[in-house]
Amino acid sequence: MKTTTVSRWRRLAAACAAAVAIGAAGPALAQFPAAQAGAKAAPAAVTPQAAKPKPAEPTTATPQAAKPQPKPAKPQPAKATPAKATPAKPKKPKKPPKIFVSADGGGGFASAGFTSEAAYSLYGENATIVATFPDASGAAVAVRGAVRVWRRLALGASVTGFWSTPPAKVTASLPHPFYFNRPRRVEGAASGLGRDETMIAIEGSWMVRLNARTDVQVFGGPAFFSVRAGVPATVQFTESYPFDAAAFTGVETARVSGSAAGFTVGGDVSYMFTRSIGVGGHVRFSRAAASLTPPGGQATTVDLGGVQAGGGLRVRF
Amino acid sequence: MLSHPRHRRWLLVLVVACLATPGRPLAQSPRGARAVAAVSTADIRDMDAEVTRQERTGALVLRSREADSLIDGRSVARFDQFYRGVRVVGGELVRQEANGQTISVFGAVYPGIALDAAPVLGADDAAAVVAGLTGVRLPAGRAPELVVLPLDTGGFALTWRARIMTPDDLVVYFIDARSGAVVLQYSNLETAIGTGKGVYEDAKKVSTTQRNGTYLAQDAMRPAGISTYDMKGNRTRLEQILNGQVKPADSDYAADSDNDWTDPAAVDAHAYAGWTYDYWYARFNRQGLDNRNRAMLSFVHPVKREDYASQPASVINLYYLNAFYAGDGVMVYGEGLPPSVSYGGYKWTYFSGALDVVGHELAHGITDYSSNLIYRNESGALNEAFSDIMGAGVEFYYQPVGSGYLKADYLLGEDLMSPIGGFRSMANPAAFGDPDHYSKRYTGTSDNGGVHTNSGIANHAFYLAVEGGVNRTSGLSVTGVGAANRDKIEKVFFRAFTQMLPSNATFSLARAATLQAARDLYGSNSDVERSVTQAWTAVGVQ
Repeated sequence: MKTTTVSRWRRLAAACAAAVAIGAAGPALAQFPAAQAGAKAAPAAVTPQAAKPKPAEPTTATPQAAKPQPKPAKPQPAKATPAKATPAKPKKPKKPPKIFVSADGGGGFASAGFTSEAAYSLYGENATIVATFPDASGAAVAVRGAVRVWRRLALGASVTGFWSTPPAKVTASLPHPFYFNRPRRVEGAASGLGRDETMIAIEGSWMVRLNARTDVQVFGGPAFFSVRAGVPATVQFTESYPFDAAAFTGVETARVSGSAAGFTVGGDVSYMFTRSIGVGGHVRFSRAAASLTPPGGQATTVDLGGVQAGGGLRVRF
Repeated sequence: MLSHPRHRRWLLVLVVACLATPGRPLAQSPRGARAVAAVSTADIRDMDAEVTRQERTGALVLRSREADSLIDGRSVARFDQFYRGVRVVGGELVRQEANGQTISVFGAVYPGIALDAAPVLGADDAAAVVAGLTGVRLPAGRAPELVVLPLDTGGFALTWRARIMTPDDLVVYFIDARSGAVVLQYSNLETAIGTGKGVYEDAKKVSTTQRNGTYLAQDAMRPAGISTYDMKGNRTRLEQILNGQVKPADSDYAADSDNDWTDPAAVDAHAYAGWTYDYWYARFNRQGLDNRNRAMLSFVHPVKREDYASQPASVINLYYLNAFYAGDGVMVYGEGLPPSVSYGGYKWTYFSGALDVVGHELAHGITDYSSNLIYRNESGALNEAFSDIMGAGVEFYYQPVGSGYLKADYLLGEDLMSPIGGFRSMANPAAFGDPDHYSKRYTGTSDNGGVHTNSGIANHAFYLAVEGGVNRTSGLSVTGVGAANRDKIEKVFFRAFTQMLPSNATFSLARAATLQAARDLYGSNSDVERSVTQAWTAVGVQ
């Protein structure tokens, strides 16, 4: 009997770990007690209600309830017959958990591209570099925490991070070493220019229960974004006499940063294995417009956020 | 059989006679010389065979063979005439070759030389004579050369040739190898007397080298290596450098502490030298003065402006109101005059401030390393004309067409003077007293036989071939190729003057060579050939 109980715990732990590992879980919403849902499959060790019909054996679990019954001649319901038992009290519905925490891994999709224009001094004139970053995808993580404040309304905060390394198309105008106003145009691609976004949001959420283990939240609120992006600062190139042309070989990058206020909205689906542990997934859309100023260049507006989705662990108290 | 000296002498006579036979004789030849312009198949066949034979006898010695910079697969071979092992000044043949076949032969050889080729005086004796005349000793490595000199009066002299930089001139001496007398001397200063005022405030890039925290006017980006030196008015040191007695030191470089240059004379000398190199490369695929990227050295501030009042006229004429190519890739730019001083009705600025002047002087370097046109009489006038053509060419390549400062035109040196003037016109040579027709050529002895005067004839031919028009003397009309095709005429003249002309070329040879160049580059009966033909005819050169 004891062995069976331990085995179930192990299976649960393994399932949670796997969910986190693959990033497939999402933030949990309100979880209602298993007893309230009348779930017979709840493990005895964690469902004390199941032991109440047998007050004479308060310290003993009822393995039969968890085991297949090889002999129908001993139907379990007979044990539940309150012949001499204390009359069953009406079961009070358990209150939804007070605190909700979720930790998700996932990705951002179609993060808005942008164009950076940098300039630097070369051969007595300004060299200009235009880097065009396409819409890009990348990895994202999100951590949310909320406190239920009224019925199914919760208030909380979330922090998300998004990383991408989109390849940039680079076009540069390089001055001639001997003559003014005779620039050489070079083109190339630059990779590995990382873009990191961090969003901190204040969120309100509303929970909707779908069944005993599954629920849905919708959430939204104001958000504060910060972004750091690698942009080309200078162009590496080769040239030779008469220097009427140059060949692009790469870029040297600079990190530029900016911040902006915006918003975020989204939804979350959770499936709880227990009252406190589950997995879930979320989708959110966020948006803000930040200004980035590459070295020596013009400020450019970058749309932050976009669509992000992920899944992970749900913990509730 | 031919080992006996008498036999060899007869053979040489026969050789020279044969050399003079093939090819179309030209009406205007150096005195005593037989000019050759072999372009027809028959003439080429005969001349080619003769050249081959005379190479075996030593009467002709291959001096150089260079790849044609404009036409792939072609090369130019230069032969010097020798008499009993002694080079004959001006005796040269230039053979254009393609895949082992001769395309053309131009040149001039001297038949009938008869003198004892054994000198009485040695090279050291000749050097001592030169030192006695100039007060300057020839540097080591520049020993006089024994040569046979054709005399203007006819006949020949065995002489020692020496070139030396004196305090006020670059002189070529021919010292009689028997008596030590000076047979001939002439200035080898290839000057461009200009007028102008100031160096203009136009921004230029200066290719420099940083050394020990200081920027030096040393262009290491161009293959030739272009350096500009600031002599800070130390004329004595400049002359030592020009004579090879000392080498320029790092401290002689024009320098600036922050690479934001404030010396306009150095900026223009350095930048324009680079521009000129680039022009040659882009237009003619020419790699510098000698086509081997020989270093180009410019010297500015050879004297101090404030000292001009105490200087003799020779120094003012050489180092204040002049620029010259001093040989071996060295340019010297005059200082001009203080802004408050006028000369000839003009105020004069730094001579490096005029792009056409820089282009002109550097083109003398190309001539030095190619045709080496002797700087006197007709060959000297052609030497000057080629430099004028190159000076105008570089101006049109970089500057907008127009009149005024920093504009491309057919005036030479106009940017040096205030009010704007110039000292030669290719469009109308007569405007500056120069001939626009061969019949008006100067035949005196001053100015090395009028090298700066008679250049107007070839200059005007170039102008007419490009722009078209009517020659004021002959009244003949020329249909030019048009300004949009100026580069074609530039290439024709460049090709002819650098790859076909011998050192003692005449106007007539220049005509023949340019026509051959036109046919080489643009085909027979092309518009270019027609324009060049009409142009030479209009200026009276046949």
